[in-house]
Amino acid sequence: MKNVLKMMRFDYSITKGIGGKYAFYFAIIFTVMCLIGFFPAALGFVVTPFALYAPLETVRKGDFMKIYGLLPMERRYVTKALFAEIAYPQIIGGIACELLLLVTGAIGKAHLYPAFLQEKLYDDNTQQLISTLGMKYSDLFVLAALATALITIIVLFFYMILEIKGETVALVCCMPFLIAILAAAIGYMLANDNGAVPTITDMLPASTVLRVLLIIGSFAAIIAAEQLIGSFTVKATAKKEI
Amino acid sequence: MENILDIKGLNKAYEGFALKDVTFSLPKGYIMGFVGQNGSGKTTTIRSILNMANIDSGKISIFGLDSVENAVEIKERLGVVFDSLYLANHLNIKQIDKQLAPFYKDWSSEEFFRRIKAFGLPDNKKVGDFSKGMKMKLMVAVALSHKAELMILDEPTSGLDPVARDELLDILSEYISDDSRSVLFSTHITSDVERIADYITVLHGGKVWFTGTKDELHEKYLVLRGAEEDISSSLREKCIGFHGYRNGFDALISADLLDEIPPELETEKASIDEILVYIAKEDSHEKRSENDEV
Repeated sequence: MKNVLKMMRFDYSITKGIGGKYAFYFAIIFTVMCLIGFFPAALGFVVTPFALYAPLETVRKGDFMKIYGLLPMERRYVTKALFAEIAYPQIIGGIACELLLLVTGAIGKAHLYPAFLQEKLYDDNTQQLISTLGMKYSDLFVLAALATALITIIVLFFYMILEIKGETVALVCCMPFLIAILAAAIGYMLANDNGAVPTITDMLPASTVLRVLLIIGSFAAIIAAEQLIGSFTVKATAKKEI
Repeated sequence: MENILDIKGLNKAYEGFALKDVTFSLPKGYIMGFVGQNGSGKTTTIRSILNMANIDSGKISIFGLDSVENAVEIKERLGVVFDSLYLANHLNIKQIDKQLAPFYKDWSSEEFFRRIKAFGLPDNKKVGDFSKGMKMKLMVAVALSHKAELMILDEPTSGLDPVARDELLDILSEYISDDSRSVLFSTHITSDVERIADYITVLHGGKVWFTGTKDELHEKYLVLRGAEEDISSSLREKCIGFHGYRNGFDALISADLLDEIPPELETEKASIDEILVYIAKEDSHEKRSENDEV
């Protein structure tokens, strides 16, 4: 673990100056938006971690890659760190999203917003937005966790193929997943308009305990996927040359 | 004499190229020039030493340790300079120090900044904006800051202006002055090898053509010149890279054959550059003969 953390620190020190600052700005923007009533902005935290790890891939292309062959570090830790760098910021982003929804919900229920904000942002637009999707505010907690898990697992899968087979193959492999998810989401919204499918609220467990378990399970699934995909990639790339 | 680097029977095949039975040693306290044409296998050998390429067979020992089994320990004690910078271009010197320090037990930030200052490198500029010479010096500073006992340089002087090249060679000479450290540097700028190398390994077509001291190489080969009618066919066959022209011929010949050379022919000491050229000519003769036979 110590070596994985060392490699994570190394990689983040590279991306800090590139995407890291944007992740920070996005986090502030999403938080402010949430607190003034546009609470779906909390979901932005699910994608904000991209800015932390995605730039690394650009830096890794070319001569910089040689450093991974020169550092006194076993190659398996370099690979494991790559997956940890994706999974843990995503989990942190997911948890931040949950906390923001919790805080915003509490503020909203307490009617602490100035009247004009309640009317313009909280009560009107955003409440309307989620109700047209057949949702309740409390559904957002579960959906945020599920979205975090789904996105992270797809990204982990993408990086696994990227490490083993390269960028082109990775894009080709992941594209069908993304298209299928997009098609399912659009299909659901259309069907939902006609009342042909149960609402999201109906599909999610009614009990709060089960919902909390689903949220925890989503984050646990990310850790499991990170371990599994990371170990598989370590084996598959053990003989890969730098 | 204790060897810091030992390569025995190294074989590594890629599509269209192979290292064949590469064997040579570098004793402690010396500089070895690793020369050969482009594509002769210098970089593949270096990548094999660094465990960045997987070897097919053979054994590489560095500091008496196996290059695959003990890769981490070896890399702690190894400094590497490539022809291009392997550090993130957008970082500055202070960030590089922070980034690399946790990886080396013997890393000294004090020594790093001392070297940076001595080399005249700016510590607030992005390293990607450095000139090629500055990048070389930075990689040398990194190697010196973790007390590397063996420095491996792959084409460090190519693309450098004469002043920067001279500075780099001085740094390398100073580096081995305490007799406990060694340098292996690959280059095709043979004047650099003539200037500072104690040992030379000539690689040609993936095979070691010569390995030994620089003096041995100079003593072993001579350039032979004269009129074509003065050379016997048996001696001509023993020549390397025989090149006939309107007024005569020239070729490389082993000094062991000195007794067979008629007095009409002239001999002179061969430079490394000349040796490389004659090896290449011999190679093209062989290829032409093979094609003629086909």
